[in-house]
Amino acid sequence: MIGFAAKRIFGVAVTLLVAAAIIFFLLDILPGDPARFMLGINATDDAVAALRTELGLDQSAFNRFFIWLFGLFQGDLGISFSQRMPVTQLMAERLQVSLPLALGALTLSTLIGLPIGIIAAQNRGKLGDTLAMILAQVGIAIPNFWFAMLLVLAFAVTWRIFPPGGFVPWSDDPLLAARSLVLPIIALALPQAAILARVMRTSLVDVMQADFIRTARAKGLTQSQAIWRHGVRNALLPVLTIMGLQFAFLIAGTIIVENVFYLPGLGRLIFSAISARDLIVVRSAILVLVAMVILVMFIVDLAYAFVDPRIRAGGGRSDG
Amino acid sequence: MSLVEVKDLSISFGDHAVVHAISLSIDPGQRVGVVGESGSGKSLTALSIIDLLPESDKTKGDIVRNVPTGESLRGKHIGMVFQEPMTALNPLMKVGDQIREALELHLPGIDFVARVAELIEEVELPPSVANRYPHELSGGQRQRIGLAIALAGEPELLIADEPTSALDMITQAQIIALIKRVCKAHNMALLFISHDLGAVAALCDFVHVLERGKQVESGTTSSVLKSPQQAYTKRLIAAAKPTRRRLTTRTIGPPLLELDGISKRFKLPGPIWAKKSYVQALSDISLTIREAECVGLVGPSGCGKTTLSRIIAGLQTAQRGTIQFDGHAYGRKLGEMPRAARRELSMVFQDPFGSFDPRLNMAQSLYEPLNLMPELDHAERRERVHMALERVGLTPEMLKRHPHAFSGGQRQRLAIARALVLRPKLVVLDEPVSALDVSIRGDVLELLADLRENFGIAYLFVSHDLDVVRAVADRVLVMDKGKIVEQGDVDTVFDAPQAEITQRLLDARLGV
Repeated sequence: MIGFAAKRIFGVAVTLLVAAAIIFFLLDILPGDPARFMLGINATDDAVAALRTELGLDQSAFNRFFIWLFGLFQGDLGISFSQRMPVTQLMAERLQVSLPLALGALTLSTLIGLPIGIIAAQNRGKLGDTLAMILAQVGIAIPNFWFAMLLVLAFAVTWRIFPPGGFVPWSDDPLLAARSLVLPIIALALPQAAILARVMRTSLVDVMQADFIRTARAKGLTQSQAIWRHGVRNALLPVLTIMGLQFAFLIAGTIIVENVFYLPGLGRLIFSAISARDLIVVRSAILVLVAMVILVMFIVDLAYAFVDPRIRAGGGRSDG
Repeated sequence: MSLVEVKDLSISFGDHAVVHAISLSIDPGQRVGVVGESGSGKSLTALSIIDLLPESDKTKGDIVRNVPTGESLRGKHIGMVFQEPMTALNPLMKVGDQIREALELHLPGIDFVARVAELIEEVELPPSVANRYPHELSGGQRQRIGLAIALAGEPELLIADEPTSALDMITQAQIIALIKRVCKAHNMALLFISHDLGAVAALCDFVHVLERGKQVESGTTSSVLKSPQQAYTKRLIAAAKPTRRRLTTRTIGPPLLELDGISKRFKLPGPIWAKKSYVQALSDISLTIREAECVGLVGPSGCGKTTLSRIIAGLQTAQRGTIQFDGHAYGRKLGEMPRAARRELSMVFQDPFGSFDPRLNMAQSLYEPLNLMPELDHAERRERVHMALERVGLTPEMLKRHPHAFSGGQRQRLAIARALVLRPKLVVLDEPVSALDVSIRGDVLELLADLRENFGIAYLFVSHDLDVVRAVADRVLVMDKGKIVEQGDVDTVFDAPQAEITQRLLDARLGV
């Protein structure tokens, strides 16, 4: 297990480095002057020259890449051009919203989706299964922004249980901060839960046909004991992959829901940076996202290996 | 009083009856065999005794089990071992824990760790396997674990459903001896389900013969084998005996395939920085197959038979050595097998169910190899496919059907037809009859002999079944641990074996 993790960590480091290089040089080799691009067509030559110096554009691309990389290691992502703030600080603020949002939505969708999928598989072909799968179909079909608006109408406008939008920093009022994330988490989690329920059901239905379930029954376990003790863990493998992909989406793909709830999340930061042509923020934000996705996939890999001893061992390979 | 009494048991899927009025009884300590081919209803009968039939199946008749009521039947009073050791154990759970689970259900309060160790010792495995996962064990070892799980609840009856059909001959003989010993030691009754009369004869005192869900004959094993009353039983017994050898009138020609110093190793998984370790699958293999010659290749599982046949067929490349085939030379330094050589060689695989793409109809599957011969026009292709089908005793009308519409025997004929459309000089047959019922086996072997007689095709016949090899091959190669340890004329090798592994393989045969 430790050997497996060490091997993967090495892979993660290499992937990150390559990703950083691609992000940096892609933005750099685009035709045109980044400084002029950032300032717009009406900028004076003096302003452009000043910005070029500030961005270090008079140095070679390699030098700038290594300066940027060096900064990254020190946690220095540069100064935002549009907001005149350290990018590190900007990102940290936004992650305070996006990270709990993503984690919360993933946890909630797992708590809802997996049990529904398991119950549906246990009752395959019966009423419970049909109902669960119709619900899941509806859950997948409903656009999450529309669902988010319904939630606001019901729980913020009519019943006033949760705030309708906005966010106060955790340090100011942790309780209010948490409460303002509840509705967005629900809005994000439900469609994801519907997908998880379907994947879990399909996977478990397959596993229930497996010979080792029959062995477990012959041993004396009841059908539901056999499913819980032997089936669920085996069925979890494809579900883990989907959960990894979902988390990657939840980190940055939530801009519509962020807009509905006026949340200062990462998605909106990137959107506004692109609108303001703030290449410094765009570049760093993309790198942070890429790093998160790689990290999540690494965790999924570890989870896979934790669940399945065959993966820990790795497959034999011919060197010929 | 008998332990289990089955009276007029019938089982049906919907309107389709698959088991018709079967009656059998098992006395305490008695070993009873049920013999039949695929689709005879023998497994369903076993599952209904342990009460594991799918809910959708309807049963009629009575099953009286003389065990204390109110206690759990499965595991406690009846234990069961299944056919597929590869899939019958949970891949994510240590095997010791899988045995322990059965103990926790049926014998709460005992020292589980100690009892697990005893059970593992009883099935003749080293104590360390308790901490291993199923994928780390061989097929035979897994089947022993399956037996330990079945024994955990100390049942009065053990049901074994084809427990050895997925194993090689040597392992099969060991598992059968183990089952026999364990049954005697615990005075446990056995219901042994098999298609293999030899295995039943080795284990059981009493035998029931099933044909398509009907009980055709029952009696003590010795009387049924000695004086079978029914035609079907007679056919099964005849098929289980070694096939008579058919001599060919073809003269064996000059060398067609020559392997020189073929070696192949596989890298074992490990951390990238660690020193690489390898397993040597083949070391320095040299062999010759002549035109129109049938060469048998035998050996225990894991000896490298399959790797060697894949290298000959060009599906894998060796690290060292050269291959000369029909005027073409290829190998590690000489490059891949040339296209012109590929059309002179075909392959037939063991599993007729897995070797056809289920989405292609038979026409698509059978015409596909002809893409190697672009010079043929449509009429010539058609003629080749139709002739190949005719040769294997099938008709062109069947071409529109998909694989699922054929029986196992028909599919293996189709696989042979597919190998024949190219009119190859050499066909590599990888266990071509092992997955077939014994009664069809003879037909397929006969077909192969005919084809050789008419077209002068050479065969490399890979098999673990020594009787079959003796019936079809001129010469035999015996492999063990990646090396050819013995070779020669079949009669010489089998009558006076020199290598230890040949002797062990011969000893493991189960005759009737």
